[in-house]
Amino acid sequence: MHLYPITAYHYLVLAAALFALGATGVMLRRNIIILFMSIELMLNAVNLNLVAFSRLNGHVVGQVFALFIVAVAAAEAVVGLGILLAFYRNKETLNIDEVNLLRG
Amino acid sequence: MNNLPAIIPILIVVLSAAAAMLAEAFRQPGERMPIAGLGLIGLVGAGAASYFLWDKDAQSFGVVRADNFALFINIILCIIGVLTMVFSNDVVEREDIPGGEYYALTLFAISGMMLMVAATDLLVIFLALEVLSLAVYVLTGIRRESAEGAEAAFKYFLLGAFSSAFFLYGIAFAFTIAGSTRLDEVGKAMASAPHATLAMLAVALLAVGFAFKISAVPFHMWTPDAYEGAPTIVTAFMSTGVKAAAFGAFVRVFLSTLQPLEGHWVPVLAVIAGATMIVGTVVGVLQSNVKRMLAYSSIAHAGYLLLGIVAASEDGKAAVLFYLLVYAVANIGALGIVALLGTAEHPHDQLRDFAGLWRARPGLAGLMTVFLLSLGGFPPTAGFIGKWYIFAAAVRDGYYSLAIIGVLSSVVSVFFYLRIVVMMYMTEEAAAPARPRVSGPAMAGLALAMLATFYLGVLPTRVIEYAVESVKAIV
Amino acid sequence: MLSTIVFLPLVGAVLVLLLGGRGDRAEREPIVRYAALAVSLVSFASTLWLWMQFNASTAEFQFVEQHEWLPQFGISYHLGVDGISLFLVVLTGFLTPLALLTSWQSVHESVKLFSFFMLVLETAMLGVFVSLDLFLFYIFWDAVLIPMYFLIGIWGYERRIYAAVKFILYTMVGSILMLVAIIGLGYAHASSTGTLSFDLLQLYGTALSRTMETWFFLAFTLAFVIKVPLFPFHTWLPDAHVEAPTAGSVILAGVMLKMGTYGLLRFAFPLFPTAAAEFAPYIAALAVVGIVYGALVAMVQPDMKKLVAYSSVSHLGFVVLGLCAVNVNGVQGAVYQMLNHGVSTGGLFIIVGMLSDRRHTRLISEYGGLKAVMPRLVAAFLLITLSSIALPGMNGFIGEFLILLGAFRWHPKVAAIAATGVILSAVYMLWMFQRVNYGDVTNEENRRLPDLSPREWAIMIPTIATAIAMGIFPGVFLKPMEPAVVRVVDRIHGTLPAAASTRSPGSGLRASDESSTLAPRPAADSPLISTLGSRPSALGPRSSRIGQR
Repeated sequence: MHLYPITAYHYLVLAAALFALGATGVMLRRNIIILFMSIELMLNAVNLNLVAFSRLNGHVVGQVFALFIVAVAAAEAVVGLGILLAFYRNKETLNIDEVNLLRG
Repeated sequence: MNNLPAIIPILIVVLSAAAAMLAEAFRQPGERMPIAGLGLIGLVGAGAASYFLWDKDAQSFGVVRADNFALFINIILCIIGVLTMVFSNDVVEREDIPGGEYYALTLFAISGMMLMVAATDLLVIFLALEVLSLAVYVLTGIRRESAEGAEAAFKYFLLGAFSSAFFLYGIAFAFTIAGSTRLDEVGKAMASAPHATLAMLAVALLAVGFAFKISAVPFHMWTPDAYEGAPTIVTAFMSTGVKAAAFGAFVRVFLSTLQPLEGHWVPVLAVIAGATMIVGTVVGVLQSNVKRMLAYSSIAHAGYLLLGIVAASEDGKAAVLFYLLVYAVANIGALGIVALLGTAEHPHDQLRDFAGLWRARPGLAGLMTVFLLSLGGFPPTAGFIGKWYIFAAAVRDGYYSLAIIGVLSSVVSVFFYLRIVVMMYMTEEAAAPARPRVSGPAMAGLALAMLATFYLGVLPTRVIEYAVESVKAIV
Repeated sequence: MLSTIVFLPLVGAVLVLLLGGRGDRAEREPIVRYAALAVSLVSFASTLWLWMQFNASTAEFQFVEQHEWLPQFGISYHLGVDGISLFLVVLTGFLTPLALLTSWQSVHESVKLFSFFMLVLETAMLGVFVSLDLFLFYIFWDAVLIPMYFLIGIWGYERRIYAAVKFILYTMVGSILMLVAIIGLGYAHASSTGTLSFDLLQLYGTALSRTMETWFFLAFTLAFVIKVPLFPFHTWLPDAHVEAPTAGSVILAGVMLKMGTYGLLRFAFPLFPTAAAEFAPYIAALAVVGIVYGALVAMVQPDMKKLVAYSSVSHLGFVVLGLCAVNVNGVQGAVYQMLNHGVSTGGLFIIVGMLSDRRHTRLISEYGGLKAVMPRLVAAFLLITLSSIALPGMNGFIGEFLILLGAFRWHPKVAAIAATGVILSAVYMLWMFQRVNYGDVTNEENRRLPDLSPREWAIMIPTIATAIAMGIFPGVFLKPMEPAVVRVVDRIHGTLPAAASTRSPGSGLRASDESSTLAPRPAADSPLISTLGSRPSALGPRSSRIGQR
């Protein structure tokens, strides 16, 4: 078995695949918790990109950015779950199809 | 210490936000506290600081730059903020909005907006975007017992976070190309982009991120829901403030950093601008809820603003700045009136709620008419000059078809603004809904907004000069 | 000075609003009414003063005011009048007080707001006629819509909201495309001369590519013909007229329709002469269709107001025909006919308003035999009707005669068809007059109708006097407008002498070489004959570009 070296290209493709998975999840899944997880997946795909290129370029900037984004993502998750809780209290459902009060 | 000046306006707003939070903490249950006053002080201070920083081109930490462009939008944001505070003082208790949190979040959102337009680093723009977005998500759902509010906040949050991910992915690609996220470095790398595909990807993803925030078609889905479900005062704030900040950053990133790739993104944005104008007005015609109608109108206005970006010239940029100001004043005025007339039980946001307003409240009806005429682009109000400026920039660059779509869609939009006018003046009041009294300060705020609307419509020269000067900062 | 005249009504409008106090107070009504009337009378007096001061011997713009306004866009605040706009200004000043007076009986709801909008409307209309900067012109042009929209929508009849919205959207669609064309023209001028300007006098003669000229011309013309309204763009007019309150109809027919024809004459034709030459025959064809169509439709209307509205379509067709002929007779007749139509159709709407104030119906079949009941009102009705059907000796005759003469020199066949419109107008007007006023009183309700009140005398006397005076002394009006008309015709034909076509801003009262283009006119007693006889050079349409077709 012959092993190819892992290049920047591979990281790009992996990150793109993760990002696409996340985006698809947001669009197709019905359970709100899964939607949240999909968005986190997208953010982590970006992190992967940053870390990989930071390593390839030989500086740490990208890794700092990744930490940064993790922090922001955490804040976002807190607010998101808070909103979700408020929503759940009013609607008693986690199915996205029942988000239907507002439409025009 | 040399790093401080550029962020002084932002710091002042943050401090006032912190003060608002502290005030809430010390508030006895049932005690009324003039928290809006704290916000007013902070915003006036930030406005004054912005005024003194004019032409100084102060820079902080290499990532924040208080150039004239940022300061111009700062002033717009301060105007939006001041009007929001003045109206909120009337509305907040009536609508069962928790006061301390509301004011603090609004002020934090404003600080995020200010940071967003002043940032010269993609990552800081993202950070600022999150600061303002998170605050606005919560504001949308701040009435906890309101199912509509929670749903609106939820939708807004979901699509907002989704778009943030796109924006961030775009930043990652820009970083991949340039090895940095600083706008100037990214610009240089883009100009000599070795990885054309990556550059295209970065541009496309950043554009998607911005398009969500400015609610351009086809990324506008959240707008009507979020605007309808949020408390009206929050709708007034976010429809103007978020738009101003997002367009500010949009112009800075696309018309300076990404200008070298103009040939690639301009045609796409041109199509988006046309679609946005059409969808915003055509769907707006069908609405019977005033907040929803104004949400679609704000989509249409995003289309006009995009036209300024598409023109990609000095004129276009200045036109965007001027239009943002015009739109902010008129829109916050119109939605402010809706907010001031509503209560928690009776939001006063249906078209028929406006029936006979002229008889009941001639002053408010007159003010509303002025704001709606300005949004519709009638002379001699500010809206006309704003549209003239935008369309002139578009025509000058040869975008005749877009200009024609623009003017025709503004005729259609006149139709739905006039529906409110018809209700106010030409329809008899059916059953009198109890409309709350409007306090003196709120009336004064509205009157100032009206004066500004006429001033910008009749003697806009000074302000246009400032706008032209501002955009010289971003080349 | 012009600024004062234009903005005087606006100041008056604010004054009226303040005098009215808070809300709607019945006891303040008389104060508001008299204040508004006084303002409009002062403003009429000031327009008359303008006429007195007017130098009739030059084609240059007079009373010019020019200030820098929006230097970034090359926009200036530029006002001025020439012989064409002068009379439209006077007409506006004349009709506004009359319109206000007609409303004393019929409008009781929110009189304050009503007077406010009437006066705002007057400012906007005056502004349209005196603006010499395209941007400024457009502002006034659009500003006219808002007060008129409210006048129709608040004080109109049953379907007022529909009519008001239709009115505003219809006119906006046309005018907003003109806005794009104005911007385009400004930048085209900038690219050929290097300076961005929207000054009309600078823009005359801008070099344009053929396509651009055609499109710009069409955009301008669309805006104006919708306003006129030219067949087939007239469908908003009957609705707006029928639903509008009397005062609104008077202003709409009397002044606002002229904004369209004035726009054609001042802007569309001279700015884009080549395209104008190309399209004039088509526009004239539509005008002729409109003349006949309007007359035929008017004939079958059961509603008096609708009948008068369609007669406007027909009469305005004459005006457009005169303009399209682009010779001195045609254009002079067109301008004269604009004034005539303002007076006589305004008068007709006032009479219909008086009848419907008394009976609350406008259906012809409800009336009959009024001659016995209200002899004085019927006499006034008769005189106005005669003026409208262009009886020789009345004002309408002069205008239509000149137009037909001009059209005949251009295309005899067109003139022949248009002339049938004159006959048809006699038919429908007199028929209506007969059904309303002659015969027996068939409807009991008509027996006790009061005759003219003093207030109504005050409205009818000036109207009729003007109609007769314009028929007997046309020279008073034709003479001052002639130099300006000659200038416009020359400009459209592109035969303007070089000295007169070098345009510098603020060239208002500069003594010009214009006298060389003016043929010496014999001091004839009859100005009409002198007008017809003294201008052989300008009457040679076959040598013109438009005539070459």
